[in-house]
Amino acid sequence: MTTTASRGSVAVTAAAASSAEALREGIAEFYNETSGLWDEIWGDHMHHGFYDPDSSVQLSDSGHREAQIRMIEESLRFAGVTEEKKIKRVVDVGCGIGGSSRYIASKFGAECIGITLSPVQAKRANDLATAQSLSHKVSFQVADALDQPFEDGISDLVWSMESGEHMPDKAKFVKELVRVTAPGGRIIIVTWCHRNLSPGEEALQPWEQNLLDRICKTFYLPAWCSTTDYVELLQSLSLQDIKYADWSENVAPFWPAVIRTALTWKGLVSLLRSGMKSIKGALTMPLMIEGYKKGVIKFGIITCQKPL
Amino acid sequence: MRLITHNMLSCNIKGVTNGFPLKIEAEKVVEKEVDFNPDFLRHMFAKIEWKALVEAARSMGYAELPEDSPDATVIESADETFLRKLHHALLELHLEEGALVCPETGRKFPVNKGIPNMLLHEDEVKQTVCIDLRKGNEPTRIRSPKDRVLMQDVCIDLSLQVP
Repeated sequence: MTTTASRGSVAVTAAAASSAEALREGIAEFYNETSGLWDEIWGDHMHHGFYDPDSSVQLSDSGHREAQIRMIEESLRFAGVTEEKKIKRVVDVGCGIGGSSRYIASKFGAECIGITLSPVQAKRANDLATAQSLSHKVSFQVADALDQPFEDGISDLVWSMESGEHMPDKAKFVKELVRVTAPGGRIIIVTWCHRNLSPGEEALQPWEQNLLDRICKTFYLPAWCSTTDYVELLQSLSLQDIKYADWSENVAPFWPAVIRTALTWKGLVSLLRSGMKSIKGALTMPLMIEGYKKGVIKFGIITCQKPL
Repeated sequence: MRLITHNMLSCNIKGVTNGFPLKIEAEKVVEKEVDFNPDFLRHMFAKIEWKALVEAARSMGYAELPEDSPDATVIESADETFLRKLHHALLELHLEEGALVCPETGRKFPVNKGIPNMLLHEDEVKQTVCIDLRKGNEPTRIRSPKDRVLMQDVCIDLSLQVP
């Protein structure tokens, strides 16, 4: 390999494009298969709960549901999104079966539109909206977060709750979030990240990368980045009021609770019925706990405002 | 799909500049009653693209909306006649089967069981060609997200075909 002062050759990303297509299909199939199982056991919020750090009290199932709602509230509060009048339209990127959308639409009396790669999720999300008499406010469609079917600047609040992990191109993902946000609107990204790299550190340690790779395979995650990477991307796009936090301590009880529910009789039977992807997913959950314990995996929130 | 949703959707195929509003090809339209909520309609009204709504409602068989957007006094008034028409068009007409058509390219996005599929095909997505200044003449393999994140500063967006 020669390194010269001249510009490098053009690297064609056509191969990357078709692997992105394969990833997209993999994500859709994963959630087509597993969403029903999650819905049955945990309900309509497919994200971590928010807990007081070091709380040793073992929560009941309903306690965990409340923690999941608290995650939404804490995220909105962290982002400074509190005024009802300003939030008319919300885009939920990677909406799952629509838990956040329905909650936020209800809270702000806003219109909320969710996108997911999974047709099964979109259908279930719409059905739940109808059942909760929210179908006039929320709707769900199949679309790609990297190529969102919206005009520029239509949304007062762009919400990405634990979907960033699936994006193969973080830069393009963030650009789309920003494009779709109205001037003065806010973006909230809550996502699994790897730890920030120290100054001079080029990459994670091999054992850390290996741990994440094993998780990536089962959960259809392309690659991890750090909270700092997101912050730098937002800075490069001139977003203002950028805030971020490490909420890893606030989500610690979550995966142990998920594993406990998987090991119940109902959980095991449902897993077996659901299919291989669900079973593999369940077997990967201890790796998430290991990742958090060893400080490799972080749970991050990053928020910002688009300038007027 | 309701028209309140249609009013937000657009075609984002690479190179398309007029992807909104999507035309509607209606194969099956269903009317579903929804509770009338004038406050919600008043809250939303300013954001609605009126011409797009009128045209879309016509495609779904409803022609009662006025051609021009009424002014704020009509919305705020106690007479709810107009709001009821808006309510019906925006919230009670469902496109169950059919397609949304890009006004510029004619590309059809199918709507099945009321859900639009807005996923783009590979050749419709903007391709990004990346030059990695760090690697000299070596073709670059993106090994980590950090590579990709770093490369975005020197990426050139091409609307031409990438071989």
